[in-house]
Amino acid sequence: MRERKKQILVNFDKCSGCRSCELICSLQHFGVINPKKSCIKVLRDLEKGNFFPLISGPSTDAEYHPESPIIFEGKRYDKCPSCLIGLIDQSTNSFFKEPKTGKRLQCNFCGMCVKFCDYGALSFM
Amino acid sequence: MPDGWVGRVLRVDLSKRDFKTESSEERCAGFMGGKGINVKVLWDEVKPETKPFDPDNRLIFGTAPLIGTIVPTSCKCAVTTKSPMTGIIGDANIGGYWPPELKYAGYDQLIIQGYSDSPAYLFINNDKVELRDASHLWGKDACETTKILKEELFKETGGHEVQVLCIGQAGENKVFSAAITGWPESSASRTGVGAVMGSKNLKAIAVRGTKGISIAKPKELTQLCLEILEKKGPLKEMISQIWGMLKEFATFAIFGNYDEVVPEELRDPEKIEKMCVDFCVSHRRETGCFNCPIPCQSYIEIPGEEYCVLRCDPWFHFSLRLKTMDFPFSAKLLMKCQKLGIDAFAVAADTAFLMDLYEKGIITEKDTDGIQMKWGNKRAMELMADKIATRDGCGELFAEGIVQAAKKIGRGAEDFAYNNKGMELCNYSLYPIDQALSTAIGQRGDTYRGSASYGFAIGFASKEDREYFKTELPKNIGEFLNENYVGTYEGKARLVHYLEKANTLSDLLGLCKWATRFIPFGIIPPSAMAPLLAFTTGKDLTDDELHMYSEKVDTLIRAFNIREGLRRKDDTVPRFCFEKISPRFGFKLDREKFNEVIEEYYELRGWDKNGTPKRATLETLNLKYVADELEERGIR
Repeated sequence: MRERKKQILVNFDKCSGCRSCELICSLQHFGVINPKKSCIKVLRDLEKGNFFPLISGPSTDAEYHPESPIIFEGKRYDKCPSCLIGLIDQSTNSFFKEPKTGKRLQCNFCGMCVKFCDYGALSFM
Repeated sequence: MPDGWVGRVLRVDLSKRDFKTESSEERCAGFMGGKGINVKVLWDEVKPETKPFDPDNRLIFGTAPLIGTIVPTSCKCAVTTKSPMTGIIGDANIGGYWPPELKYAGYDQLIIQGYSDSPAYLFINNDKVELRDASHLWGKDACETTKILKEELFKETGGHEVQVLCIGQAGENKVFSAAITGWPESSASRTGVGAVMGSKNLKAIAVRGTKGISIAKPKELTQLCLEILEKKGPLKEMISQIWGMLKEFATFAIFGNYDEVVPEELRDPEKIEKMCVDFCVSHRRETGCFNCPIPCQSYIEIPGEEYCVLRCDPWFHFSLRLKTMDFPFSAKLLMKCQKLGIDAFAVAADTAFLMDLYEKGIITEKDTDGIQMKWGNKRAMELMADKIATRDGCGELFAEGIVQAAKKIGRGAEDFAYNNKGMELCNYSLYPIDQALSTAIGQRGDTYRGSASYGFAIGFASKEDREYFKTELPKNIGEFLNENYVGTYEGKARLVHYLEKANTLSDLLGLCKWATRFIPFGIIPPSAMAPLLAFTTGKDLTDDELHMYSEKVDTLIRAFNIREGLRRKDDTVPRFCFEKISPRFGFKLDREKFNEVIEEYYELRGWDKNGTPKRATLETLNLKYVADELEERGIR
């Protein structure tokens, strides 16, 4: 039987932009705390107070996970509404690369970010 | 270097355009971090002969072992200098996203000295440090400056976010109440740190860091942090019930320093509730600082305005102290202050001072550029914020603080310029004895941060809360927490001493005092401090040893202040507290008893009757060189 694909539901509306997901991700996978070495990245739109946690895909080439379901302004999207946000075209590729080596960072859905997200912006599906 | 710290200090000499790195190991081992390592530099390098605006004055940013780690609220960096406002230690605290970034760039501490001939900004990109021309930013407000810099550097770094601290117009004009702003979420506002930055012609500091922080025991730390997040309790609940504990604060903070009279609108609990609920409708998004589970900030929408970001309580000061119950207006005014890069507390206090004088008939419209300074005049408040920040018209009066303003006005205004050591007071009542004591001995000249400050809340806590405090507090302090708590003198010196030490400890570790100050609602209990430090750095310290660190830092700060000329007579509260019965509490302070409490506090600290640290105390704290220098200078 085919294993059901794991997914993390990202609720943009609940995110406070605090980045604790980035921190715990880097600690979990690399043993150091460094948000630049994380498989999740929070984009912050400071003017309107919108925050967009993006997850790197397990099979994509170091990009945000295009198929991760998302809630934004009360609406649910099954695919990332990057076109709606208009923020993500800013060279997303470099987000999910190890700063020194350029190695790709890929999420394995270990779930630590979900545990650490105190605002409930991340949840397992 | 143990884990947790990153091991280097960056020293920037603006005059020589020179950047050096030093090892931070010794300083961190002796003074932990934050305020501790900063005050050590201040003691060693800034002597009484140096004036606050001299190039030789230092502007120091100190991070701490827990900053940038997964510990909740780990983002508070200490900004320390010699204050133009008070002439003693200038010490403010900034959260947000900048302090962790500095640490990721590989620096525990940033020391700025010298003076730049032309406006400049500093760009720290990991090991690459540059001083760049900032003439295109000069004259711009904090919001614009941050936006422009972020955009420029975003392109330059190939699509990465940099974190920016900057000053607004107030800092450029060297107004004594100028702040350093981390737009939009945080600012180091009090004691005039922004004015010192302005005096150095430094407009902004941009940082990008990609190095990490290593952790001694990742598994244990993760587990402990998860436990803290799960327990968390009352504060979070309160905030999610109704944003920002509006109601709680509305009932706490109403005690203005001017007449202690509760505004009509706030005497009716139902009305308060309605006002808060109405206001919360405009509330769009909870937010907070870096890695913080406490959403003390909020994006709100005000019709016809851009978004406003509110932070914990400064905006209350406009509402409550200036007697206008228009919450959205106060929010707008706070935004204005943040953009101008000026301390909102100071603007509120200065405006209230003028309004008080106006209502008393001491000044007229002639003194205030034709503005009617009546309580609640919104137009006046808006104008005053601009005027103070740009030194325009009657704003010039306040360019050098409230005491100088009173002197310039004369006519008996000095009696109403309520201040502590030269700095305007916050909006909290001075009548609860612990509050009065912590104000009197406040190390930087106010109640708000260094001292116990929220201690008085115990008096208003419910019976259950009080029982909880009793279990967390040492026994000889807890036993005094009874119904008559507010007006009694017993145990207050011990309580303030204890809370001050606890507050200093969170400064040393880099945590937010909203999280550690368990009164009335912290999320990180005092007992968790030692394990958090041990798991992060591998440094096993007992609670007592930790408290020794904060005792040491507090004493060093006192010694610095004494060396700058602070004396016993400066440790006091405004005269009205002894003369006027508070309508809110129904008593006034007893001068004799109050002096006894102050002396009891000195005793606990190991200071002599004049408030000077004793030689024996300094020697136990490994501060022999401090005792020697004080003696050399003939202070004893």
